Amino acid sequence: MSAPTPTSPPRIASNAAETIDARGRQAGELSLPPSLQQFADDAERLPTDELIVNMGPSHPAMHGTVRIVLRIDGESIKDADVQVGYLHRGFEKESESATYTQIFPYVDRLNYVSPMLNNVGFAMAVEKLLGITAQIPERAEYIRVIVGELARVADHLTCITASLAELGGLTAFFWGNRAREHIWDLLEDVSGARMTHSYCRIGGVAWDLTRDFDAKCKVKLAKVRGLVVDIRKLVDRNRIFLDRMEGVGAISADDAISYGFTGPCLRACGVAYDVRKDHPYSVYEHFDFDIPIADAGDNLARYLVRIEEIEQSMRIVEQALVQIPPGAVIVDDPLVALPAKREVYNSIEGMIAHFKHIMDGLRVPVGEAYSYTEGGNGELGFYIVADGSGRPYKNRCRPPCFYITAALRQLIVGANIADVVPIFGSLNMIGGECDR
Amino acid sequence: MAARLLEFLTRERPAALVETGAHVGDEIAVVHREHLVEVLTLLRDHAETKMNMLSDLTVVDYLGQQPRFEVVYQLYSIPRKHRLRIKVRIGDDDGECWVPTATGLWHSANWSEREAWDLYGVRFEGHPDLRRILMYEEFVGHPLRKDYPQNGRQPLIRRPDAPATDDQTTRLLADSHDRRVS
Amino acid sequence: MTTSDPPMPSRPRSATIILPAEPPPPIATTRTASPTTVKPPENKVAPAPVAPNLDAVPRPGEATVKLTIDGEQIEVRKGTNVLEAAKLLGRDICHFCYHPGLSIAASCRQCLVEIEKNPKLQPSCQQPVAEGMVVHTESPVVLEARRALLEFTLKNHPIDCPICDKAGECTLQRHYMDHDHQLTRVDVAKIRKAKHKDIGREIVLDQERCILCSRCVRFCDEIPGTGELTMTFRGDHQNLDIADGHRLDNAYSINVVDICPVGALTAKDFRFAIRPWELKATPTTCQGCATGCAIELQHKHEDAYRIVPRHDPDVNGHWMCDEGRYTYKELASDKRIRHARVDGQEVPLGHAIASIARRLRGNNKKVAAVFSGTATNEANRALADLAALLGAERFVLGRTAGKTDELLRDADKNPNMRGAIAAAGAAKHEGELGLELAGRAYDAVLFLDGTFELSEVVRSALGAINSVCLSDRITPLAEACSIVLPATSWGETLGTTINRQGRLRVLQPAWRPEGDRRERADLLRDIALALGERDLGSSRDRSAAIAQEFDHAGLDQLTREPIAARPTLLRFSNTRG
Repeated sequence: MSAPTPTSPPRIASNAAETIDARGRQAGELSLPPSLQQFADDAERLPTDELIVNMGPSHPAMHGTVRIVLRIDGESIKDADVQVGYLHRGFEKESESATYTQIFPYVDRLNYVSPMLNNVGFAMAVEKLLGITAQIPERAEYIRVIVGELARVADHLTCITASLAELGGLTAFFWGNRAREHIWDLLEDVSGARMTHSYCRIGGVAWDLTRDFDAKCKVKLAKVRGLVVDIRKLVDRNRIFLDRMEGVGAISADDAISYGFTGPCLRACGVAYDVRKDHPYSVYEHFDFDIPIADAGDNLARYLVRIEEIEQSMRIVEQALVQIPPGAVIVDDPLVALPAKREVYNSIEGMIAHFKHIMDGLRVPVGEAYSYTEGGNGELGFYIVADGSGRPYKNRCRPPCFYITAALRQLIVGANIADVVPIFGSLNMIGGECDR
Repeated sequence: MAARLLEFLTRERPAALVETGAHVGDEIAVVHREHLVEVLTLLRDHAETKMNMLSDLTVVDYLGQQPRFEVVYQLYSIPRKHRLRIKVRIGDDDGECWVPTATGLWHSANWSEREAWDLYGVRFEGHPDLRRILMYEEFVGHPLRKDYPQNGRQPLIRRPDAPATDDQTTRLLADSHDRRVS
Repeated sequence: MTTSDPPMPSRPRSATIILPAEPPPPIATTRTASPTTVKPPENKVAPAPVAPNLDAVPRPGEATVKLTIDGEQIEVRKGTNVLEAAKLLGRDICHFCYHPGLSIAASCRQCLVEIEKNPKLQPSCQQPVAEGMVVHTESPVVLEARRALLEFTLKNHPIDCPICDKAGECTLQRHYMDHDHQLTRVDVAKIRKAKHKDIGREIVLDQERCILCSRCVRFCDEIPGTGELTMTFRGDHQNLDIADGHRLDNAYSINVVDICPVGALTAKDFRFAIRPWELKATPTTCQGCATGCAIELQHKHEDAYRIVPRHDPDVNGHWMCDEGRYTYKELASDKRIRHARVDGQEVPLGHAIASIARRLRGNNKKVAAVFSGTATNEANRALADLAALLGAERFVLGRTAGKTDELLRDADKNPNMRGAIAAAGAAKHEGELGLELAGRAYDAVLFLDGTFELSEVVRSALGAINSVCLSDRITPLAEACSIVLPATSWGETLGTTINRQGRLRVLQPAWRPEGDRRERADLLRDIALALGERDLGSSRDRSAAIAQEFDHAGLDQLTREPIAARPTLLRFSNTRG
């Protein structure tokens, strides 16, 4: 017995309206033979169970290992449980037995895509406790701003390019990585490492910028600008990108503030809070720069804020390179800074000072302080309790993306599975910072 | 600027305060646990203070002192641009080691209170979902407490379907006490 | 009781049993009078070395003096010096040559303070307190004097910190960081002297590092009285040296390493062993002899590195003897017994306890219980309870007697012979133990400790009967016994001993015992439970009871609060200021 032949071949029409047939199906849907059609109709009427699906922790899109347990009904998410902590390394506990200078490698590894900003934040907290904030030499402040803003550029590039890669826009990913390499080249020249620099010290920075930093920086920043412009050309009006990002993952300003959002995620909701402008620290008052604000609070807004901030950070760096004065790069206080190596090897006083600085740590008087700077993700705070010795009694990092990730559940419940990836990507959760 | 906050609190809720002070420019107010939610609500809602963000919530363990723990709230006001640190002191006995939750006031308290419970063992009464957040569920103890050793060992977690081994190493590792008194 | 107690014998008391050439010495035995009573040995107890410099806390019934230091009025004992008075206010005036246990030299001039109505700065260690005196310890002229003096001291100091033992606990380093932050102003070659000069059995001298405080010279003159060290020449050429033809070989020589503020005098045993900031200190009691000096056992994790005396005005003053310092070597980890052994086979502890119960069960078993002068009161008392349950014959054994002197060393090298004898009650003499064991008079013998020295014949007899030894380390006796239970060493025990003065001395654990090691009292309790007898109580309970009995607040706190038992960081290395 031969198989029944279909009644008519599938028709593809240019005008969608005329192809909506009796069952309401649109063009492109194949018409099925009657036996299979019955089956498909029955299937549409069957109730479906909700499914528990696990995303992560080992997942290419779960940056820095996060596990999201989803309860889905078809494609839409009914409930979610965001589980963090997979990258918890005991930063606070380790800090309690390390000297203040030994903590710099630890803070590097908090927000590891913008480590310089962590360095600066922590150094400022200890300097606040020591009371030497006013004595930091100006050159050191300018250097901190320069490397900090370069780190911010690298942070935003990472967030944007990783998001785009997850959406399928690999070209932008490679271009963005190229731009990041330029930044890392500069930071490697300064500190010796591409990512975990440990460059700052209490009272200043470890050593001066390289002699050709100025020239190199200008060249690199021009290249970065070019690459960012290219990325924007590809992405800003891209239909697919806009469809997936606009209106997705929106949060209201009130909710955002209640969740403790700060940084680009908060500015994307229309709230103009930036620590550099509202509570200027270091030498940020000397620069002319803008704070990009968006209103929608969705993925697209967060993307736009970040990509504009890259340009603003580069403006700051260029102004700083012009304004930077010559001078010392660390405070001239023997209780805080190590003596020069010439003294250490040739005099007992230098030897003792170096020895006790390293072994005991620089002694911070009893007290506590909460110091906050604008990190890559927002208000990066350090709450340090000092007990008079060279090691902190408590060293709490206020991680900006911890509070932002707490809102992830609210953002993805009601959305589709496919939206989880862009939403999560646009929040820029860095595992090292969230879990510490 | 922030000194006005302490004056405000002293004026509005003097009974709630244990002490006020400042250090290196940060204003600090220590309140009684019974008045904590009241003070936090006042600070959040009053027109003069409008502290709409709970910036951070953490605990400090002053082992050896009574009371042992200090729960520290860092409050910030975006419209008024001022900050305040609120602290509550609690002991570590079972009936003592708790604080009312702030999740009704700010959403950011949800996760930070979970973290405080996880790492310090401080309960937050009224929290909708007080479970561990950074450590795994089978973790024993509260690691950031000062009497938890820095190199503590944890019991091995056996998969439910795996048989118990007689391996001496496993037996030794399964001893959940750290032999180094540090 | 009725016999008059003989004075300290000149012959050592021996625990070797084989056919002694002469009858056992008459001490501590009452064979003639009552064969089963043993009395504690009576010693001529030398008083603790008195510190010549009084501490300033006012005592009731003594004259006091009111003075003002830095604007604060205090009342202190009359006859103290200003430096001690300032300690009451928490002010630690920096000094090098002053030591509360030694005479005052006032040679370093580091402790200079400003006293009103005095035209020149006065050394506070030498200045006795006077009524109405007004003292300034932080005025600009004092701070400048301190800084200038440190500059002078450092001028000739070698740049040895990386290779110097004292680095990390060096007074010179600490005072530099606290009071002098200037870099050097001179560029002149430093004076060269002898380095790493071997001057004694225990000590190495580095003359360049010496800051000429003369503490060691005064110590050797005053405490052991031997006076080997001396200062030669004067002025720029002054030099610490050993007297010609002499060696620094007195029995208290390692104390000079503790009191030397810098690394000029270092102990051969500790040289380059470890850095002090890696160490933690546990206050405990020396187990070398019946004096029971208060010590700090300094260790890293579970390895002991050295012993340092603590100040105890009633027992040892500021000092301890060299023999006692070496007792930390007993705690070495390579010799530790971590698991129980039955007939040479390692078994889980539960098996071993069950084995012992099986072998001891039965009314016709004759058991000997051997108490130990080197074990704690808790252990001895637990054995007493168990011996009562078993109807065992009791013996008390200890280490052989050793050297003694007027100062701190006691001939009785057992830290707790008094406690052991008190716990044992009616016990037989040790000499008889060997004979009876060799003659197979017992079916089982329980040794509380493994440190006894028994002869070859006796040890070989042990293999044939049921012999149990509770030992913390591998010893000939432990190897000879058929069952060995792993016990805690004195470094891991919370326990007490009774010293020659009848005082209660406390042992604090420095680390938790590894493997199956348990307190002896807890092991004996498990044996009793395995025999079906009553619960004898844990070692911790016994310690608490002893704390009540002797009204010892410190021990009471230790038993109740585990936090109190944690080791602490060393005094001024690491971060404790």
